[in-house]
This record gives sequence, structure tokens and C-alpha cells, in this order.
Amino acid sequence: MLGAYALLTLVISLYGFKREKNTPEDYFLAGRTVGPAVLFFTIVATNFSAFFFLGFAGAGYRIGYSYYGTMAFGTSFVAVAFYVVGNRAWLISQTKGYITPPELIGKSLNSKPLEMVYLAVMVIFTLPYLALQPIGAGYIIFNLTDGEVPYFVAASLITAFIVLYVYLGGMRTVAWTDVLQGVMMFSLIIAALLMITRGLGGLGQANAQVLEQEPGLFSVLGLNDYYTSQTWFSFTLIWFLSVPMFPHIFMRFFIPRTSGSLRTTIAIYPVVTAVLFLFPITIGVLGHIPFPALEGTQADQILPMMLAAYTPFWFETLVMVGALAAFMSTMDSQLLALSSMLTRDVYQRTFVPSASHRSQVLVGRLLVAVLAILGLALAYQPPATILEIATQTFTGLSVLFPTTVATLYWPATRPLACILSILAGESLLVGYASGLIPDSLTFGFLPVVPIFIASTAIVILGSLLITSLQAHRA
Amino acid sequence: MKVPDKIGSCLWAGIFAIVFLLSQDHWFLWGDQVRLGPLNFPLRIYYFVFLQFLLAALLGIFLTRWWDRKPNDSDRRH
Repeated sequence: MLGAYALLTLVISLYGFKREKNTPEDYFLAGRTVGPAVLFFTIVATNFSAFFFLGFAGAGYRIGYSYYGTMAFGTSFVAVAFYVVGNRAWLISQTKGYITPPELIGKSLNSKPLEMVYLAVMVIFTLPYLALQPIGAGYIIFNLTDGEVPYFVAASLITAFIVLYVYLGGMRTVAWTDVLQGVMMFSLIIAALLMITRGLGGLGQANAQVLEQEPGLFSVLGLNDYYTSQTWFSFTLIWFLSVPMFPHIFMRFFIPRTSGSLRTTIAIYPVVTAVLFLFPITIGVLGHIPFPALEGTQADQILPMMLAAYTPFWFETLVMVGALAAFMSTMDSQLLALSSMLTRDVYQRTFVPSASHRSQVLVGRLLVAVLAILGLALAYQPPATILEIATQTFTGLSVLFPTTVATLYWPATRPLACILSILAGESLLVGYASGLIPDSLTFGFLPVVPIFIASTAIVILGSLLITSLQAHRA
Repeated sequence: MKVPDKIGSCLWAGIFAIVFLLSQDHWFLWGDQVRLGPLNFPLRIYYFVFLQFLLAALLGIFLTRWWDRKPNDSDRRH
């Protein structure tokens, strides 16, 4: 099954390679020719990593049905952010020919330092997230082969395969393989719930049994009173602020053929999350029937455990291949996004302004390989900090949101205020994460809330102050 | 009468903000009692599904009316 999936992916990448025009716009943005269906699947497949498969079920087991409220609605609301950021970003990038998010921000405000700061944040907070993909993929193959393929060998093979098809076909291949991966994810998780609930005597009966066994899973606060009003608010807000700021998502605002493609994606995005998110969470909740009292990271294995208990082996394997596809659909997009930013914003715009299109594409391809090796090196013996940093990724990237919206909409935005906003926001993040700033100063919210408020205030007040000082001097 | 851009933008921002506030589950009078819906899912699940479909419908209306509006003053920098 894994071989069949790999072969199909290679065929797609060869087709993408044949169609490629060897320009940066074509390699990094598929020539800005992506239609609505492909755009929808590539945004969804890139956004929903294996966390959708494994993490949601685990969270459903640990927290209960309340998890659906924050995750599903919070993710649905991201569609509004796609409009706020995506529509203007598409329009401007089409008009000006921008290829990367730092390029858009830096050139819009005519500030190279801002472009570099924006780039640095995107790279710093995406790299550890990139490194986690081969870790997860390696463990899936290790388990699928009953240990015959060692973890790091599996991680290396997957990484090499991803580098191959991204190297060959760029964004065009990544987008088309995302369609394949998206269809797999959706159809498999639906089939998984149907088969599991059939084994449990039907969904209504299974829910009734879990309610009697563990009523906290059905409560407003979640099992063990997981949520408070403040954490609920924080979790529904954080996706809106951070998801459009992921470079691999942000760049997808540049690739549509027409603005109508993006409009279609935005409109149907909430419907998809409304329906699909319920499936893995339900599987996690129902996991209490055959597997009560799992603790900690054991709960993250609830999906493969339920599949093993209630579905035939071939189906269990197919779902794990789907989870692998989810890892790959995120990692290939991250590699391409990071490569494009380092090529355009560092190689071409800083060191070799006269670089030809051909050399930019070559450098971009080489950087895909270099970044993949870097991610693999981090995955070999991941330091504890990489996991801590990865968990801060969403908050770290959300710091860019006020700067981005201000740049896109507010003519009075000043680059110095944006730089200060970003530096202050990241400093606060480090402060909270290290304990230098006490938790009490979050007032019960996740750190993203006070950090967002502070970053926004600095952009607005800083820009007004600088404008006022400039007017005085004039 | 055509609604001016800024008023229209504020109106829609307010509508989406209200939808967001409706998702803040603890502000609602659910109480601690678990109420079940079809298939014995908590009723709140159906509420959130409805909220997301409402969001999709509002986005559909908003995008149809607002998508191709002419750029206003804030575009002069670009």
C-alpha cells in the first residue's frame, strides 16, 4: 500500500516536472495557476497534519466532546482570517509580482530590516515544526513494519522521498499531491468511524455507554475540568491569529489563478471542519469503552488501538498510510515555503540581486535538500527544547498578525513600529515560556492573548507616535 | 442607498465578532447538566455544527457582496 502511494506521488511529481517553466514564480507558486478545487485541498491538507488523525483522537480521549467546540469552531473561524489576510495578499502579490510573505511585507513598507525580522520569525518557528514531521513519520513506519525498519531509517527514507518530489515538481507537485492526500485523509477517517461504531453496536449505544462510564467527557468543561472561560477563549482565538501566518499557508494566498478560487475555499472551509473534526474526536471519546484509564502519551495512540481492535488489518494499514500522507503533505509545504523565502529574501534580494530565474530555481531546489537534512538532523536526537519550541510555534507566529494586517490595510503603518511589535511579542513569548514572566500575568488566558494585545498596541501607538514626530519635524 | 465602505466593513466585522462570541460556550446558560441530542451526542455538538454552518452562510453572503469592491484609500500605498 505504501509502495502504491509512493508510486502515484512520483508519477504526479514527474508530470509536474515536465510542465515546469524553470522560473521562481512557476517553481514556488505553480505559476499562479491553481484552480479552486486544488487550492481548497492544498490549503486543507497542508493545514491538517497528522495531528488531525492522531492528536484529535488523543485529545478527544483526554478531554471529551468539549474539545470539538474549540478546535472545530476555532479552525472554522480561520476562514475569516483567510479573507482578511488572503484577499489583499493575493491582490498585491499579483500586481507587484511578490513571491514570499516577507517580500510582501518588506516591500510594501519599503523596509529591508522589517523584511529580515519577519523572515527570521517565520524560519525560526517553522524549522522545529518541520523537524517533528520525520519523527512522526518514522514512528508510523516503524510500527507498520513491526520494527523491521528502524525509526531513523524510516524517517530518512520518507524525508528523501519528499525531497525528491518537491525537488522535481515544486509547488505544482505539492499542490496536486495535497489533493491526493486530502481525499485520503477525509475518506479514511469517515470510514474508520463507521467501522469502529459498527463494532461497538452503533453510535448511539456507544455514546450512551461512554456517558455512563465517564460522564465528564460530555460536560461543558471537559474531563477533569480541562477548560476555563479564559482558556476556551484563548483556544478559539489562537488559530485565527496563527494559521494564516504559517509560511506554507500564507504562500497559498499567492497561488490562485483568480480571486474566485480563494473565495470558494474561504466559503466552504467552515463546512469541512464542522463535519470532519467530529470523526477523530468521537473515536477518541469512544476509546474509553475498550481502553479505559489510558494516561498521558498512551492516549495519543488511541486511534491505531481502536483500528486494531475493530477494523481488519488492511484497513488499519491504510489509515496509517493516510496519517503518513498527512505528515508528508505538511512537510513538503514547509520545505518549499522555507526554501522560497531563503532563496528570494536572502539569496536573491540580499546577496545576488542579478540572479537569473534559472539560478534562483536551482538554489531553491538545493535549499529544499539542505533544509530536509537539517530537519532530519534535529529529528535524530531531538533535544527537549525542540518540542518546547514547537509547542510555542502557534504563539510565535501569531505575533506577526498585527504587523501583517496593519501593512495590508493601514497607510499610517510605520516599519519601525512593526519591528518593535514583533521583537516585543517574541520577547514576551520567551519570558512566559522560561518563567521569567509569571503565569499570573496571563490572567488565566493562554500567553497568546496578552502577547497579541501588546503587539497590536505597539504597532498602532508606535506608528501614530512616529507619524506625529515626523509631522512635527516637518 | 449604498452603505459606505467603512460603515459596511464595521457592520460585517461586528457580525463576525458576534458569531465568535456565540462560540464562547461558558457565556451561555447551558449549566452543568448534560443534554443529549440525536445519537446521544451532547446537544452542544449540534449547536457548534450549526454555528459553523451559520459562519459559512455569512461568509458566502459577505464574499458575494464584498469580494470585488473597488480599492479604497488604504490601497494607495500599494
